[in-house]
Amino acid sequence: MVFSSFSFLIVFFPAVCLCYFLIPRRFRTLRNLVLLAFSLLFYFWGEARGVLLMLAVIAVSYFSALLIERAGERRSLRRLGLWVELLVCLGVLGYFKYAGLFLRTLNSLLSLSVSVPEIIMPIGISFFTFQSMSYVFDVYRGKVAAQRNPLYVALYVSLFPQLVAGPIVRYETIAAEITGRQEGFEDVYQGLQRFIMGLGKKLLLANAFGAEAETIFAMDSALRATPTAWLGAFLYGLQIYFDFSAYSDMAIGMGRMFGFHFLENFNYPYTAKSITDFWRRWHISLSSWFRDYVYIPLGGNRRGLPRQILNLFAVWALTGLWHGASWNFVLWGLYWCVLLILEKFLLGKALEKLPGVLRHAYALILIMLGWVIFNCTELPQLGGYLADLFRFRGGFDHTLLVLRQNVPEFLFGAALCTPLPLRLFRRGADKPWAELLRCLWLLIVLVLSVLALTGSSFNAFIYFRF
Amino acid sequence: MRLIKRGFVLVLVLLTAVFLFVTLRDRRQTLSVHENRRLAAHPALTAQAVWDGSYFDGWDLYFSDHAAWRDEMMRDWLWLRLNAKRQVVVNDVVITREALLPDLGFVSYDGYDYDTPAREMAERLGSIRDAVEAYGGRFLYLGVDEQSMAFASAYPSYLNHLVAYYSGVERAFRAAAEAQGLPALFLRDLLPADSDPADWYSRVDHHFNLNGAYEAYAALCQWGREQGLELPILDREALNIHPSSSVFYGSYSRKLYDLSPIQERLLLFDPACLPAYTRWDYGQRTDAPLLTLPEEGAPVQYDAYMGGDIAETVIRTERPELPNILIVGDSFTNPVEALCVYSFNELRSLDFRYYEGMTLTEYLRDYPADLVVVIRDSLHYCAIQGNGDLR
Repeated sequence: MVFSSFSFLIVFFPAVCLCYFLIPRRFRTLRNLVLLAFSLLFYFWGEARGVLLMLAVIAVSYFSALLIERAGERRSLRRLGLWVELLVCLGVLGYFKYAGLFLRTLNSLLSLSVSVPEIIMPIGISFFTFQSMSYVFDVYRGKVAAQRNPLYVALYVSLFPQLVAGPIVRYETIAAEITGRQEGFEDVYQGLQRFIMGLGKKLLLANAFGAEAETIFAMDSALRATPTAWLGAFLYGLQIYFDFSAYSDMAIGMGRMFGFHFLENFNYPYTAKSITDFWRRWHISLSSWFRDYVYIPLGGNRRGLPRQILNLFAVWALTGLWHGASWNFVLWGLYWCVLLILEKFLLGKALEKLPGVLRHAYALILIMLGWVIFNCTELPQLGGYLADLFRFRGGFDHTLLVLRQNVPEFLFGAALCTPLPLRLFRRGADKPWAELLRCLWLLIVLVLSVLALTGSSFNAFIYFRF
Repeated sequence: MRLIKRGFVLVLVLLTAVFLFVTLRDRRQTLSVHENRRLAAHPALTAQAVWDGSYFDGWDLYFSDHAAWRDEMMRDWLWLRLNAKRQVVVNDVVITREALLPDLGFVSYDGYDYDTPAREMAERLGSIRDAVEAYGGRFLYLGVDEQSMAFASAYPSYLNHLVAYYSGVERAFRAAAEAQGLPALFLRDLLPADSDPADWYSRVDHHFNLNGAYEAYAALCQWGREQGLELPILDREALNIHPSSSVFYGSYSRKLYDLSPIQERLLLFDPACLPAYTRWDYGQRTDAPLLTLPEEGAPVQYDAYMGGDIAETVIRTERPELPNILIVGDSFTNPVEALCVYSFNELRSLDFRYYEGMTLTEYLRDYPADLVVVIRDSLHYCAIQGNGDLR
């Protein structure tokens, strides 16, 4: 079940809210149980078979954390707890997500014919394993205390707003809120606003950009002019940003309604003026996860330049692989790695001297090239697309058609890539008329989103299928 | 301020409640005319369906298909796309001044081997021809343009990439048919070269109109006469071709939810010009007319001709002095079949998308028609799947 579906919007979410808010706030445990039950139902709805796996991961995390805490000064026991957690989470992730890739690559490299099992990857596996690991890591480092109540560990890992598309919430962020949050009317109001904004971004912008990008990426290379290829790269960049940030908005909004304060996951990444700047603004919860749990434990920049570069390569190869079980994702990760290293050691100073517009153009073009690598899962497809970007084959017809078909989307999309609309939205924060305008605007966004959702269900047949 | 905030939340709660209530209550609609499909039904609850996720997927689909005011919202969204956003392609329909056309996509067939599938299709048809001629019958292939090819010049240049492909398919097929010695007629060759395609083709549907169908009918009858079959040909005047009183829901205008910028009426004929007949559909005796009109005011669709696509239809007029005909094809044959009732003693039609009883050669063994006509449209000249799978 996705947030932008009628089953979620008119059945599931109202049912959660009804059951949750009918329980008085003082019955915190009961409210948490309601959230847990609905979170498990949410996952069961989308991935019935995956629930047992997720519960097993939660159980291992719960006991590992307890073991680490109770081990006290006994380092071997503490390490045992950590290793069990790592082995289980990485094992689960490796088997369900990467076994197919590994075997296919092995067959290809060594000319073997090992049969590749058809493993169905449970949705959200990358998120719930990473959240589980971060919980145990933090207990191991003594940053948080182990949670005594297994249901609360389950609630933290499976909390439905962030379960399948993030952001990756760290246990320390919401540990206190699990038992001690004070959700009030203002939280519900602010959360609803954020949710509607996310819904609008997903249904009115991301889907529109996505449909056009899909057409361009699926086009035969012989028909794809260079302007079209660049347009496709930018459209995909817009799609992935509005799609992903919309899910984060909706997750943050729903979390807020239930009293949780998730950290922001995006900070206007397309306003970045360098790749380094971009990665401070894009999928912040993931990049900070890799920084804190991989890069720094590997030694970060504290063990000399060669080791630092090696660490960067490891982190970015893993970051790429985290996004999908295909080599193009590794290539994508390494692409960023090379750019970041170049900026850090060679280009950084020179870039700073450039005018802001040029720095911005530099960053945007490289970011969009990155998205081409990300979106072409087959290497020949990637080669063809990159060639189309640089072969300078003319033809603006299709580009003009796409621009004409989506004028409002491009205008709003471009504006929403900057902080200006939000500043405008928050103007006169304490004035009733401004609040009224904000509410009306959100109602318009909601109505348009529902219309777009209905429109997306159009599925016509030429011949009778009655 | 607090009042505004509370009012906002209250409005959302009420909207959701009303929307859910209407969605759950209004279960009458099971068909979507505009989408030409059956709406999703309640999913069946089984352990297997729950385990493999299809049960919940079914509910997602159900709520999507049965959301309150779905048709109205679909229309409103379309209105915005057509009028506020002024989109050229809407719901897979390319909107041009001349006609509503299908969005053919962006596939290149550079270097495509047109000849092999064309040769295979011509060989299959040659086998059918041999089987027909072996018992003394006549075989004719009648090729008709599909509407998008008839209006090919109406496409914006950047949306007509498949036109070149279909032209290549036709060129190859014509050459292969000639090499095979297939008796073949192509409707385009019979129409005045500089005529307006709208004279012969619908502007809102992928078929020809009744004028085009009449030309196809007249051409096959004339060819039959030239082959020695004695049959009358219905005079165009006697047909009394006239537009329907209600609007025509074509395969493309239907997708635009009554907002089509091109409105068309379906061309009808006067059924009184046809002889008395008895009819069987799917082997069952039926009183279904050759021309079915909806209730007054309701939109008329292409299935007005012969009642739509039927796997097997048999019509007998009890005039043994006239020859029997077997027509093989798809929906393009429907209006032609209705007119052929005038000229033949027995008419049989097969649509191999739905007919599964026998192969065509087996069928001919049981029902050796005097004239066997295969009618195909230009998008399917070399398609050997579905009703192109002629054996």
